[in-house]
Amino acid sequence: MNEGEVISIKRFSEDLFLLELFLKEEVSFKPGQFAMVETPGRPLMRPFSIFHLEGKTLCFFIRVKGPGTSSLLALKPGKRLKLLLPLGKPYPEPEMGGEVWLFAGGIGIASLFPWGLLLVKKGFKVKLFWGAKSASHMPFPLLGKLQKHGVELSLSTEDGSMGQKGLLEDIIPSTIRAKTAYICGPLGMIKRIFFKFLNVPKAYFSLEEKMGCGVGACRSCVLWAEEIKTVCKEGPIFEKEDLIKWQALKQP
Amino acid sequence: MASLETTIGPLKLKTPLMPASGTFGYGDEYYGILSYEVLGAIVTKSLSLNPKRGNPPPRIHELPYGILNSIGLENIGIERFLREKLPFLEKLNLPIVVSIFGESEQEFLEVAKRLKTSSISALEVNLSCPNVKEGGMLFGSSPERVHHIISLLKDTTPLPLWVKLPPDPFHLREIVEAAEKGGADAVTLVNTLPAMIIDPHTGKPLLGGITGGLSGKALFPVALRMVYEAYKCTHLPIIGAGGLYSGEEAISFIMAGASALQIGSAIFSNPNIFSEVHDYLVDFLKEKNLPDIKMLKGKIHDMENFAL
Repeated sequence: MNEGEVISIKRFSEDLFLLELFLKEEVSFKPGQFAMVETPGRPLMRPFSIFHLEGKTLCFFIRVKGPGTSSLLALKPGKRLKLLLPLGKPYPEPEMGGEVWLFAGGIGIASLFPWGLLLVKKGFKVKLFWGAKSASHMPFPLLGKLQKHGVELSLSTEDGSMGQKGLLEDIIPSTIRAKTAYICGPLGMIKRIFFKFLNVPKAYFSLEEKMGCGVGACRSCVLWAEEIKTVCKEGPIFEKEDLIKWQALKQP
Repeated sequence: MASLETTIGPLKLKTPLMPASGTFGYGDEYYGILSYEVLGAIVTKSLSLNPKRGNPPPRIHELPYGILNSIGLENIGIERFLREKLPFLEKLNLPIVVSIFGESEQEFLEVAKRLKTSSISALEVNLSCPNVKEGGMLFGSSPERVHHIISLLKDTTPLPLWVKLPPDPFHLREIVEAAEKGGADAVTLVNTLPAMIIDPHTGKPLLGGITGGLSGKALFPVALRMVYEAYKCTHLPIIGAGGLYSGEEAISFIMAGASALQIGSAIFSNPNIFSEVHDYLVDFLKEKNLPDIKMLKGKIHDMENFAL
């Protein structure tokens, strides 16, 4: 178990913030991995993708959804949080050259942001499709950093305040040229767009699910398919072949 | 340092702390993440004869005062456990308690038969899972069936039998007595409380299994009272479980009559809970100048002659 002391909370919009922690013990991570974070006063820790980690400084990019995330937003600097990290499997590296396309739905950017930057560093040509609620949900420093590093951006917002007006699926091209695609976003979105990726040679989906332990012990966060897999331990990244038999795809 | 050693029938434990079945997987998942040093034993997830899929998701729902789950006893089955998990547990140098489950008496007996490996220290018989249609609660809520199945198991396995019972507040005495007469070596009190939750906006239950089991803080006073009542009617060692989140609550369970303690849901908000409770017990004994934790056991029942 690790611990992190709150350094700062940077609020970007009403329901979006960056939680910056100073770790007790230094760890390393690979993009796509996550942490279980203590949420004061609540019975369960919460899983968050690791957004940034440098030395002992750790950042989570968080959207307020319920009592757990609200309790984190209310924290003051100095507060210590129990942490388990890094957990889960990271994004696998592209097996083929050529363009790599990333698809982020809302807060799904939290894991694709560090992955996109790393892919660029590794020499891949990266394009990011990002759909969010409004311009205030696409913090300028993030967009700036992605652009500066040469990530090509295609954006959509529900209110049209940034990029094209609409949802992420509205900006997904009918032909996906990339040989490798990485997708991260809410379950509902993944269920809607999954079939657009059937012809992409390699498509990896990062899933979210309610978790108990984060380490595969409690068997709460299962992917309900022929072979049951836990999102926390065997995921959170799954290949499209893993998801084809996923029963959630059949439900609205 | 004062002694935290405790005994459950023939089994000696170096501390009274162990995980509650179902919250700690097969014992290997938390290795390297939390301290196993402070544990007195490992208790596995319940195992059935064949692998079980369990209930469809969602399987967990958080409430301010507890956790609802409907895992439905998903497990890898006894053969894979013996092959893939037991070898790791054997290296831990901790007593291994295997929780067993069956949908029928026959299945319980078959599972017990296949667990005769000398490295296993005890079987915890799960007669109280609220999340399955067959077996589970059906067994644990009838004194006749508890007696019957425990006596059959007793004839089947030489291993000590811990009987895990549901938090049935009204039939506690009959059920505990039935377990004792059947030949149980200990009782574990309590499993989760059958419960459910509905989303009023969608009109749907929030658990894939529709109903589930309530664990966590809300369960503590219920479990404490059941340990207290059970102590009055049985000579069997009692393993207290249910909503244990702090050292104070651990002491309370022991004073009510528990010989050992299981911690479950608390791990999910505080993976360091075992170490924290362990250190609290050590400090508590030191502060009260008591050499042995056993001196606290059941003390609430002897109030006139006991003051700290």
